[in-house]
Amino acid sequence: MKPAVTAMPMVSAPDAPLDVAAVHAAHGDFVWATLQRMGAREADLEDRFQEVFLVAHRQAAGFEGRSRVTTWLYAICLKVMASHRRHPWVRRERVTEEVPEARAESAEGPDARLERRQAQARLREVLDAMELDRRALFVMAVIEEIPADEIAAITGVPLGTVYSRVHAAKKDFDAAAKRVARRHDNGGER
Amino acid sequence: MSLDDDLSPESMELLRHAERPRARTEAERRRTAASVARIASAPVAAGAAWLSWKGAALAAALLTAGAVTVTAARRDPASAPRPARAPDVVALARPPHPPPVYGPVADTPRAVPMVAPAPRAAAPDARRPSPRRPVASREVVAPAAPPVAAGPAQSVGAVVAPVARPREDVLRALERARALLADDPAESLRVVDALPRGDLDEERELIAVDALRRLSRDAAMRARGTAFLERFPRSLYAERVRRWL
Repeated sequence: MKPAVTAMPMVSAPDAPLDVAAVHAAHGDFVWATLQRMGAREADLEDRFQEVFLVAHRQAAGFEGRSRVTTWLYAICLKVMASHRRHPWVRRERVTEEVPEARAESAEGPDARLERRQAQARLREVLDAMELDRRALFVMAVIEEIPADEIAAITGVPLGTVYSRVHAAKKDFDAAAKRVARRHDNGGER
Repeated sequence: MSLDDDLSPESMELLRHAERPRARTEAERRRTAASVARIASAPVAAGAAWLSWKGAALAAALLTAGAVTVTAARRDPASAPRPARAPDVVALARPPHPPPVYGPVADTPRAVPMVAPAPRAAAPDARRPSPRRPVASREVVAPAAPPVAAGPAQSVGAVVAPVARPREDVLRALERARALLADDPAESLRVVDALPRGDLDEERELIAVDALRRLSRDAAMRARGTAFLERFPRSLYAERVRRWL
């Protein structure tokens, strides 16, 4: 599986203070993908994206180039997403997300489509139950199959730590999947 | 990194339907580039001020127990002002959401006007109810910090309701209705129409209009969509409904 959004130039910080527009030009796709890895909702994606660059703009002067720009942006994404996760209105907003149109000429039948959508909803529920950082690691490592050394570069942690964290993230995913399955078996009680 | 180590067969089955992050569309790319350009041209202090406002509002909304929610601010533009905006220097493509406000639970009659006492740390000119007036259980205290609930929002006629989380069963039904929209809009419509009137009417009606649209019931969709816009003209979803009409 080739990742859809992984092409991210790993440029080091320039000597001059970072210009957020230049950061956006170089790493906008990375931020966009990272927010999705961390579970940003479709309806919120642009807002979270702008928040990340607003924070980056505010903190650009303090960026000393000791880490990669992507590592710095990854940390900002984590903070922005953490500040929005678990807010009481998040669930409420979820029900108003725009639903894509049904594909008229889809090769799959309605039953298969429904099954796929239900499976995706359950997968999302499982991922939502994970810690943000582990969720992002899990998506990168398992779903996108990004090489561990690249994940290490993105997150700014040593390679060995990436392996151990991904291992832990897989255990979390398994446990969350079991919890969600039990909940559904019990009629959806939380 | 290997996909199949450490994961149970059930997890592997779930992951069969996993999708990778999607790239930005051209339209999204244009919008986000424009908004970042505006951010880049803004003084850092302006961005910080915006964040401070937002942070203060969020913190107050979350931490102020029993904080007033001004449902009318979204539902009745005539009687409630819009939340204060941050400096326009940092104009976002879509305005940042003010902390969403929750109205009464579904069984609370919306038509009953409720009077809020003044905030604990009220502004000097804030109205205060008579100390002799008995405080009903619905009456709550307004938060001091967030601009969304400050000032003239408590003018006569404003419907002020206590913060209450939406009812779990209604939320669950709405989530189910939304999940059904793409594949079974008729069932989705049935689900939302079976729900009681209440605090989540805006969300309920949005799904109903979308379901009617998908069922090609144009006349009903237009009628319900128009009613939605009349009732919630400043809804975050108004633009979406207008597009459908």
